[in-house]
Amino acid sequence: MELEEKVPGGKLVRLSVKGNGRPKIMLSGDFFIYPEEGITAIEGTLSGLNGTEALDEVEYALYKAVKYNDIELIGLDIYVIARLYKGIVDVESHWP
Amino acid sequence: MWRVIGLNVYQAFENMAIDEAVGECVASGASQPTIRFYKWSYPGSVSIGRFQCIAEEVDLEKCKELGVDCVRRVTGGGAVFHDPEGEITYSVIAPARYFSRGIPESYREICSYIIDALSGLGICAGFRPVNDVVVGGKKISGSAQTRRNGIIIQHGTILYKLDRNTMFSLLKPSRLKLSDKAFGNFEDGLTCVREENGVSIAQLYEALLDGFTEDKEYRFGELSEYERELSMRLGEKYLGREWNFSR
Repeated sequence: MELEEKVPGGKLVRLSVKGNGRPKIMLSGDFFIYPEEGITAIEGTLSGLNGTEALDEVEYALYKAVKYNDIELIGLDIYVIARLYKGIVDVESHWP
Repeated sequence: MWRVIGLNVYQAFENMAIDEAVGECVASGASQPTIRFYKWSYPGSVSIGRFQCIAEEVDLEKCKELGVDCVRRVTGGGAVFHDPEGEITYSVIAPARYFSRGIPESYREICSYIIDALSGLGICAGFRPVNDVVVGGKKISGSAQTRRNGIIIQHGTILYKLDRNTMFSLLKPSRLKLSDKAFGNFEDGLTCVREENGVSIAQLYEALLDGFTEDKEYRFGELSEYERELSMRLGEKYLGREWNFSR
């Protein structure tokens, strides 16, 4: 399943979750992440969640990942990523 | 002192490999800060952003049918159709300390060279964050930047002529991208130098040379032997599925 959102004044952000068990999470879009390798930390953070976290808990996990890895997001933010994640896990009965 | 490498035509993988090779050499101090202008060989190429899903953004069957190469950039941003006759591409490769510390500000700084160039042609353009130059609200230039090893690589295109039919037969942008725009389709959101002003592409190039080099000490140069060798090695990455289909 995948969901996408256009950040007003920013970029298109798409989150896809594929597979059962431990699903593969992929963040894609025309945004910028500095350093670019930081996307691995963001996707890894989402993969490490169990799917039952509240929206603010997902946001906090992403906030920590961005802060700890000194990541700068341009054209997207942790809030849109968290919303997309919750939008998917809330309808995926098999999660994780 | 800057090095300016004048307009050359390369294949998609070569263009991306050269930018990366020059970046490595500028970072090590082996090469001078560089402004490079280039085009893409016939029949054109598609480049996609570092984080884009290739299958979502590009009609790969259509690319194959038209013989259009598709390459993933090291920089973020969106998918671009590089028409050999329709644009000039630039790259600015220099120590990050030459520019504002803030990434958004440095986009604005480098895009100001394009705005100055267009102004010299009588075209009134402005910067639209994050990374666009627009004329009357329509995009005429897009750029993308990466920073690594203390340097900036920013590359981007300046549209000279638009083949909207070919462009949007190859690219598949999500219609959600229009949600905060004043126009109802992608075709109407673009403009180009030829639609704004009747100058030739040679005049555009001259104006870009002026805009990018204003107030800089520079000399014209070529790639060094080492940059050529390194770009040939890096070219394998940009030709391969592992990189291009990584998302």
